[in-house]
Amino acid sequence: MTRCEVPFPETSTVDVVESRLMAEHQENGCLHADSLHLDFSRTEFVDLPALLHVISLLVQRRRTRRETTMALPIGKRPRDFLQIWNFGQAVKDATDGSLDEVFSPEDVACLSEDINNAVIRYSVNWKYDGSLQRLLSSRFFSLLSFFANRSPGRNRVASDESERWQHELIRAVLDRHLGRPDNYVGSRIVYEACTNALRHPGATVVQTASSFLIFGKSASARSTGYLTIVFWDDGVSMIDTLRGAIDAGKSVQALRVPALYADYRFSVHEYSGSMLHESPMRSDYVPTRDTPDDLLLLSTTFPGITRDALGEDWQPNPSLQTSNPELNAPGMGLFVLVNTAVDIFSGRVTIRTKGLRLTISRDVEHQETRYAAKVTKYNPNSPSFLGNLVTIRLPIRLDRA
Amino acid sequence: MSAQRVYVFPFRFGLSASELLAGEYLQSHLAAASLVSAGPCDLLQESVETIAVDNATMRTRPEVVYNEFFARLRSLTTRPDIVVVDLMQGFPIARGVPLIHLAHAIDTACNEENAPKYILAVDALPPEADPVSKILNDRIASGSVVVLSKDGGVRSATELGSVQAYKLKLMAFSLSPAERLELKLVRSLGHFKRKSSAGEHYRCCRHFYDARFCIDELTQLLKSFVREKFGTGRQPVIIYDAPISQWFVDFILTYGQRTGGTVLRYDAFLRAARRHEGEPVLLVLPMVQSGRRLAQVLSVLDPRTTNSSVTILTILTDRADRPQEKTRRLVNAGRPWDIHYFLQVRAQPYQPENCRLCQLGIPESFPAKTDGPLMLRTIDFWDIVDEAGWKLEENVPEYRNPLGAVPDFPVIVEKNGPWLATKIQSLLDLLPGGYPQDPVIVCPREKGSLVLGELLKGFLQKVTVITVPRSVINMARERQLDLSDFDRDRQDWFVQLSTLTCDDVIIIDEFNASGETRVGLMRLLQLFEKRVLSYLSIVDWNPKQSGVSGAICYSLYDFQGYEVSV
Repeated sequence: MTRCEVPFPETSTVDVVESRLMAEHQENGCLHADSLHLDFSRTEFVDLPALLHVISLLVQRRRTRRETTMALPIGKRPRDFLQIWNFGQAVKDATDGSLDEVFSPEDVACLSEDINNAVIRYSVNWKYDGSLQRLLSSRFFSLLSFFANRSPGRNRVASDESERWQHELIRAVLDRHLGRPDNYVGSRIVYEACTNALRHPGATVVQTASSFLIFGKSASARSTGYLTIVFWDDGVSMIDTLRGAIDAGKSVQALRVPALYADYRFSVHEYSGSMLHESPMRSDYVPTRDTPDDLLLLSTTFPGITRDALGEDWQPNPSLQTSNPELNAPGMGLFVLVNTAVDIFSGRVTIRTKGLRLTISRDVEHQETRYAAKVTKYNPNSPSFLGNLVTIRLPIRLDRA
Repeated sequence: MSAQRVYVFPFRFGLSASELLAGEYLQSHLAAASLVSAGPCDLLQESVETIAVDNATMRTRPEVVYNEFFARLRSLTTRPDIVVVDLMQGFPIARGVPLIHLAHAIDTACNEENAPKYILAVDALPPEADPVSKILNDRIASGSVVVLSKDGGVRSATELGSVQAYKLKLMAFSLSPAERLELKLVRSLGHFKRKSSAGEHYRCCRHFYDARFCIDELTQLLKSFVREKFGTGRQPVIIYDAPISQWFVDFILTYGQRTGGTVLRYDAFLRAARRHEGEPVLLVLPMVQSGRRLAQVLSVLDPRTTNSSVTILTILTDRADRPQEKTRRLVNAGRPWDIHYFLQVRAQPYQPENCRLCQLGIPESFPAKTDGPLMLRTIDFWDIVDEAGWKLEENVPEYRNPLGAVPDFPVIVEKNGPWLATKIQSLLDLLPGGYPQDPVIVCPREKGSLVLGELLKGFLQKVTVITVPRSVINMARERQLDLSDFDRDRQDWFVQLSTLTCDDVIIIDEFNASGETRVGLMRLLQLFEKRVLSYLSIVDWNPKQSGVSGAICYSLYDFQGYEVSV
């Protein structure tokens, strides 16, 4: 039986967590080990995408009957974060197992503690005002799980989650920190990210959370922090679902709207950081059987591209055929999400799935292209990422924070 | 100049059935058309049915919006000069994808020969980076499309006149924030014990008021209040004190975020009082009854604000000295204070030693758990009946004997509507598939059910309510209803049921006695091939019969009265 241990440093963002796992895997094949211990005891800061990445790894290893244990940070600050964000329950929901299998008894007890004191400490630490403190204590930002097959009102999940973001207090907070329109985060970003996650074949659980990080005001900084929203599902990779449709000879272009097409600076990088190639790309591109995975992933965010161009219940409509034969089905959800995050709120969207990570943001280096799309390729020898993790990061505006 | 021919295409996202728009509301669209055409306009539709796009459709087949737009356009018998595409929802449900399809439809329609001018009437102007703007920008620049928002925002190639007439027509149709507060305030019945900070139980209350659904209204009211009392000069430091009302904390924090003003909890202000010396202070409270808590606050606050003017506002009060000016007077330590308020309500307090709820051993209720039990407790039901009074039964169905005196259900709903609505929503959550994605409620068109239906429509939002005349229910019950008779005159209930986009409906009635109304409505819905998810009544006098009816029956209160005591 092989055992490995991976220690994580003080600052454990998702990039750091992945690079540590990759480095250890290169060295000792830890991701394939029978027993893997993730040691966060030294960690002082861990971000939300890192937590979802760990959950994905726990689920993936549990499915292959490999043991995974985890040591929580010793420091009070990260422990407060894990308590308030309900990390223990999220692990339980995703793995469908007992916390005792993953954590030590002391850590299990920590995850179950009352959050009142943790909320006060966290609020002081991150300079939260009364509104953010109130949202924190009502666990607005915490990890939530939806069960794609088990929830009785699963058709309502996306609407309900979107509506949770339409409450007056959170909208007022968004208005103040991100600017208007304050209903777009709920009705566009959250709704589309949730709908996208629930549509992935094989998804049994969808998890979401958010965090509001406000750093000290700085005249030189462009922003003083950011709102992060994450959605993770354990379904089939969106790369494989789109490729499946193409391979089956289905049309994957539901709609052509020239007014919405834009130029991208598309670059593909090795995990080490070196660039493999860079090329201009336009979002009127329709993927084919020859399209490589990296471009296929980007094309899922193009207007009108969908694995389901004809819709599940689609019936030909004579009036539509006459007026515009091209327009016949959905396929705009991820486009709306990217448009809202990047164009309206000047943020960025990251999609982690299979062996790739795609980040889309405004192209600040080149005037002629609107978006910069960067794909990072992971080592083909390491296991594929389980499911799809979508991270939306929206900057807080300096003049409003 | 001849009058411009106007048509209105009103899209309603998140609703399941079409309904007829009120003539008064349509006047706002005529005002918009007149503004854009700078001349007289005629509405060519005798009645205007909304185009409902339910949640399921928006999620799975958003392209339907495109089809519906062209279907409506192709059905016009006279060539229009102006088409108003009405997207005013009143709540933020419109999703991005269906709006893209609609914008695309308008863009495509602009290419047609002799295309009319399109006015897009929206709640708020879409940002420039929104796909709707991107698709329509060229059309706006060429003058083919004008976008108008209800707060007076305009996107147009040409300078328009004053949008004031348009805004006034829209405002005339909507209630004021104070009226909406009164309508949406939840009055929960319970056994609420008031305790001092030292734990002394000094009062019991029958009611707890919760304005969690009125945060927008309260924010508007407070903005107006601050403007009126403090002008545009130095803005007050707002201090709040709300030991038990979480809805109030949400509201006051929302206000602070929206206005950027200083909002401090009472104890936080005391710690920072010196920093705010000389600044005007506005003390805001959720509710003032006897004034005991306020007196405590003032006794600490007063010495710390000697150089500041202090204004006191409470959202709710149970008494008023000058109702016209919405103020009441409180004397504390010999000093008189005028307390401003937004709404006067009934409180029904008891001294603990005289509290009948304590004497009856009724368990304490907690404001944070305002939902309480799912159904009405016996004491709550009979108290609300006692308050509303009794009346002789009206609209007695011919197939059964009159019940004689019945509780005045319209008054019950009027006085307790939001609370009952939250309970009804909780009951519907129990449905096997959970609360429906697109809730549709069908009820008899009688005063009690009508009031209940309107309440659910206004209060729960996104609920489609269809009211059916008693004569139609009776015909359906006797299996004598021929739908083709109604297809000609397109009565509103027929329009709604025949355009209903989802298959599942909920029947609601003020009370159930013989169960025959339920049978009639179920048979009517079968004719439209709809499935009844549940039958829900405020009171079920006949739970024995409901139990064997085959339908999932819920009620807020039940006991076997029919065929036993009658």
